[in-house]
Amino acid sequence: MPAYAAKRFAVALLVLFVVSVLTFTFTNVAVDPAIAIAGEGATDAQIERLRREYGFDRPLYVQYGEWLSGTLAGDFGTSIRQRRPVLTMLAEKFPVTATVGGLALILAFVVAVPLGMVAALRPNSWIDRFALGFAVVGMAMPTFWFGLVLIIVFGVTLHWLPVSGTGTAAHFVMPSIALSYYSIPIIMRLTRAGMIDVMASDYIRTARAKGLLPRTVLFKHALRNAVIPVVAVAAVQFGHLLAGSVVVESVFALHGIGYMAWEALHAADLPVIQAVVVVLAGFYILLVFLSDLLNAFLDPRIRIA
Amino acid sequence: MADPGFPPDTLGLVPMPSRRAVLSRRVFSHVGLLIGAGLIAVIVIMAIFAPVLAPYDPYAQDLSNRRIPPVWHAWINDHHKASWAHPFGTDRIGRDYLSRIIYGARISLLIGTLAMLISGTLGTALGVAAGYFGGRIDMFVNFLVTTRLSLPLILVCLVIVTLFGGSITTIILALGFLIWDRFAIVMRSVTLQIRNLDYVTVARANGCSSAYIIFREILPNVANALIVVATIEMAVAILLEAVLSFLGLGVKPPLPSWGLMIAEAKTDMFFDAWLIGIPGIALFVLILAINLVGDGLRDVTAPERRA
Repeated sequence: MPAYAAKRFAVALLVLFVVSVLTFTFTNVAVDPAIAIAGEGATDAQIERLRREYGFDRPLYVQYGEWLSGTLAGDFGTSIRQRRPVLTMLAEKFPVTATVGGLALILAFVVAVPLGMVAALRPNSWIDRFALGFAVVGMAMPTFWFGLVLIIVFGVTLHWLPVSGTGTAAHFVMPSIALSYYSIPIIMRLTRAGMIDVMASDYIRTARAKGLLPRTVLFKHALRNAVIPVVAVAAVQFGHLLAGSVVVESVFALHGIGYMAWEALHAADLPVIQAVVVVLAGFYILLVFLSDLLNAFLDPRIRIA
Repeated sequence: MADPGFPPDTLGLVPMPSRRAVLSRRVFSHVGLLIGAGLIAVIVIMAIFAPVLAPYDPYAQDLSNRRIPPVWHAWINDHHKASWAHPFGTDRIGRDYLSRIIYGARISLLIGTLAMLISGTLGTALGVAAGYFGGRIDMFVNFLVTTRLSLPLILVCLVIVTLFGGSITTIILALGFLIWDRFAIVMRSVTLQIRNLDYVTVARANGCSSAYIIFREILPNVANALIVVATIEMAVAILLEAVLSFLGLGVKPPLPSWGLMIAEAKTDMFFDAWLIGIPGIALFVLILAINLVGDGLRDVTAPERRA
């Protein structure tokens, strides 16, 4: 196990390194940071001076090295537009994104796992068809549009929930619902498929033959095993939800890191953009690493192969 | 003697249905596949014949006819302006909504198809190479896939499109070079499954080159899986274009992208919900149709692998 973990960790670090190089290079090639800092109407001489002042005239790999050593020390640079440390801005906004993403994940599980289970126990019944239809609709519904529909129905027509902002807990209800529907189809389908496999397995037949209560068979034997692949996917889905929250954040005017990145893009605020991309990627890599470990822990065959 | 179940004079003479016949029977008895294919056919025809079908110029503004509600408002709440003159109404600067929806199908289909072709070529090449050659190539491709998956997709699309300019070409290229991961993963596992089958071994024993084996033995046999992934990725590309345009960083106005139409209608949506409803439903129907075709093709070509 330790050898397996060490290997996965090394790969994770390497991936993160490549992602950071890609992000840094691409953004610096596409935008001249000196022009972005100088803003509209700056003369060539001013831009040239800024370029030398900030060290943008040095080779890219030197700048990358400097950025990397700063980042490793927890310093993501200073926002061009807001002139504040990017780390402070991240620390301010990340809780909002994590709250929406976390709530969406919990909601997706609460809806999708029981639905997938029931659908698997009664294949081709009306509940199975309903679950399938629910998933098919969820996959075709654009998240941002679903969010707008929620706003019209529950915010404007029924006045049940606030339409935008982050003031109270009620503000997080609609964004989390909108975002969760993105993950529900995949989690539901996985649970259903896993459950059907497990219910057809020998050990369930044995458990039934022993005369165990159907309830015991279902919860102690079947569900535990069916849920393993789903739990592993949860980590990956959480990463997707955090990354995808830029869409709901803009629909509901939630000031999370997605919204911050979106604003930064309009101002070509490179340090902020780089930090958000690398932090989200790093988070995703960490989650995948943890889910790999969990999988290996639950299923010894993986860590030997 | 037990009854054999068929008249003795045809014993052994009942022809087996051909593979083609079996396949076509499966296709024509799959309701989801038929509905999906029908909807796609309608939308494709709409896109191709847009100049003929659209009642107005999609860019022509008519400031005296702004925000006319769609025709059904005349029936439901007797709106005096709603009429068949503008079946889907007009937007905030008086452009005919139906014409814009019809022309918008062109943008979605164009971006979806081309992005899918680029990512499909890239992902299939990587996946087949990884599955067929294995070893270091496999490790390298795995690493590429892991790296790509760790990039936050929507955000990176936004970054690329903003930094390199939001033309349709940039969007197609950005999406094409980002959404190849599923192609690579699926093609790799399918190739692994058939790499050691007898007919591939025979070809290798006969001295066929790797290129010949890949193009003549492997690719034709992974085509079914490839088509299923292609439908998924086309839907993903269309959705991403809509998201980019909705966030104001994709297709530029006045082009009638459905995502952009929703963004433009956002300020009016509290009063005229149909302004975001119509393009949203258009988007929903197109994605639904593509997914139905993809699911249907998977059921029809590999019924044993239905999830």
